[in-house]
Amino acid sequence: METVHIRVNGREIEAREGEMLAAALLRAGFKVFRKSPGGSPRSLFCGMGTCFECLIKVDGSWVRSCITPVREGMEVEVEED
Amino acid sequence: MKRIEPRHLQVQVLVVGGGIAGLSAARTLAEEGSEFLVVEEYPFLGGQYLRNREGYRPRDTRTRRRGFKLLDWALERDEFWTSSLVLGCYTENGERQVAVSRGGEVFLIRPGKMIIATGAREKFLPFPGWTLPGVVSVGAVQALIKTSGTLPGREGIFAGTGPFLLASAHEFKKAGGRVAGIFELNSRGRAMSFMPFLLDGEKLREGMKYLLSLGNRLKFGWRVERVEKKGDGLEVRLVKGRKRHRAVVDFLAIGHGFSPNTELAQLCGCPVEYSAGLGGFVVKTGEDLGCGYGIYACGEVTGIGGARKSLIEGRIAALSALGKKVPSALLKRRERELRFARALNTVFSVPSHLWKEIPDETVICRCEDVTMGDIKKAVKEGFYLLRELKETTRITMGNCQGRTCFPILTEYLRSSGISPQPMSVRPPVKPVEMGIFVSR
Ligand SMILES: Cc1cc2nc3c(=O)[nH]c(=O)nc-3n(C[C@H](O)[C@H](O)[C@H](O)COP(=O)(O)OP(=O)(O)OC[C@H]3O[C@@H](n4cnc5c(N)ncnc54)[C@H](O)[C@@H]3O)c2cc1C
Ligand code: FES
Repeated sequence: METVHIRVNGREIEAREGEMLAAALLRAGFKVFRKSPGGSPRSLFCGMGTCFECLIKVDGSWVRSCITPVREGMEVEVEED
Repeated sequence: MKRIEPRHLQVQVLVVGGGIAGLSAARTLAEEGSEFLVVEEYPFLGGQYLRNREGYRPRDTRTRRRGFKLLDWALERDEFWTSSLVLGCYTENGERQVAVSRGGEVFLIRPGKMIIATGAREKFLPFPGWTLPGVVSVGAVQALIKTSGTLPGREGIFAGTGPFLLASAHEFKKAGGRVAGIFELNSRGRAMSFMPFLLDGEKLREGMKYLLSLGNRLKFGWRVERVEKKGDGLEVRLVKGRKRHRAVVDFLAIGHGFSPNTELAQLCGCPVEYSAGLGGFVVKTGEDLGCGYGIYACGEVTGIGGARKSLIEGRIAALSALGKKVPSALLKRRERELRFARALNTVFSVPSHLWKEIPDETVICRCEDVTMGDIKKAVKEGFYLLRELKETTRITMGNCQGRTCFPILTEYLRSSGISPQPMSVRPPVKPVEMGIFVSR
């Protein structure tokens, strides 16, 4: 399987070509993806594009990371706990 | 900034959704020599059941073999648009136009007929702590494994109701995970009453496989009471009558059945109706799966019944859309699947009083942090119409447009004696980046 490299909050991590961004983030130890309006930590929940809990910024636009495949050189921002 | 000029297209039949129902419809359309286009939001074809990934081709049941054959057929053709979202329907000069967002462009498609196969999502009985990272849906565990070969943790608990708990736990165990427990909400006796509905070899064999692999982990009558963060893991507290159970695990997977994705059909003018036996609000169709306006619906969107129902209905919808006669044998097979569906959704449902017992502190609308307490307060003040509840609490007003909380709200209101009200849906069917409409 080909390896691709993405940057998360400035840190480079490895991902597997064809996998979804949320999976790569979880494997790299990013457990929290964002905060709710009330400030509580959120992460992958439905895994199928329904709940919008995995919303993060990729190259400046918001995506649902559970249905967004990784791409070489992606710049990703997550809100850490 | 200038506006993007939408591109115009015409097609004989537009199929929305590239899951097993959409694929089955497409195959029939092709066999009948009709022109068609399938639009699929995900970056892959196959929907929840097949989830296309290179090298992932289990062929252990007939339905799966049939499904993957359809998928491999579709992958060779170019009438399938992935990473493309159908935004909604508009009528212009008496003609229907369907807006599709694809690769930063908007396409306006004028279909002769339209087949809606938008599938279903999972449904949940919430409890305090269900928004914590590490609490995931049962489907998310399967999706992580199937699409990315990733486990949500080393050890986990599966809780909720229905055979899907076992299917997902089995997948997790096969991939090397440790199943700390599977906690079915309903009693053993109730679950056993489902046995006669495993009417044929295929489903029975699948069930037996799961039971042999995980039967010793399966407990009946248990419900998750709350979850808290504990070090790097989660402390899960479960109850069964007076009995209590506590465990610390890496993750908790939950699922309480499915709810059809009727939003797009509603935007296109199709009627919906509430049917507890079919999983909640479903698209209302005739026997030919037509719902008027040249629109047909098939698969989970007409009622939760599993992959084989979707296969059969895809064929029926395609034949009907082309004005062909549907063989009565096919209609009979659909009837059989519907009987199975009704049994499934009835046996493995959440007992009504549990919706009422959700503690006030529990978040119901995850997008807007609306709690059960907020909803109860509004209902007490006399706001129980959906429109009023939205205005007073902001429930369903977040990014997911109520996809997660609306089924919960519906069941809560129903348990309090308030009859279910369909959601009013506005275009676009999902929030889209403004960038799609404005080029830079
Ligand atoms: C997480 C999950 C796991 C499941 N696992 C099993 C299983 O193991 N066995 C089983 O028998 N059943 C399973 N089911 C039930 C399953 O839904 C059906 O068996 C089968 O997948 C239904 O096929 P379908 O084509 O009706 O729906 P789906 O497979 O859900 O396909 C619907 C497709 O429509 C697409 N779509 C929706 N809206 C739009 C739009 N506006 N524009 C473009 N595309 C859109 C979706 O992205 C999706 O790919 C599962 C369901 C879920 C939710
Ligand atoms: S986890 Fe629900 S949309 Fe991604």
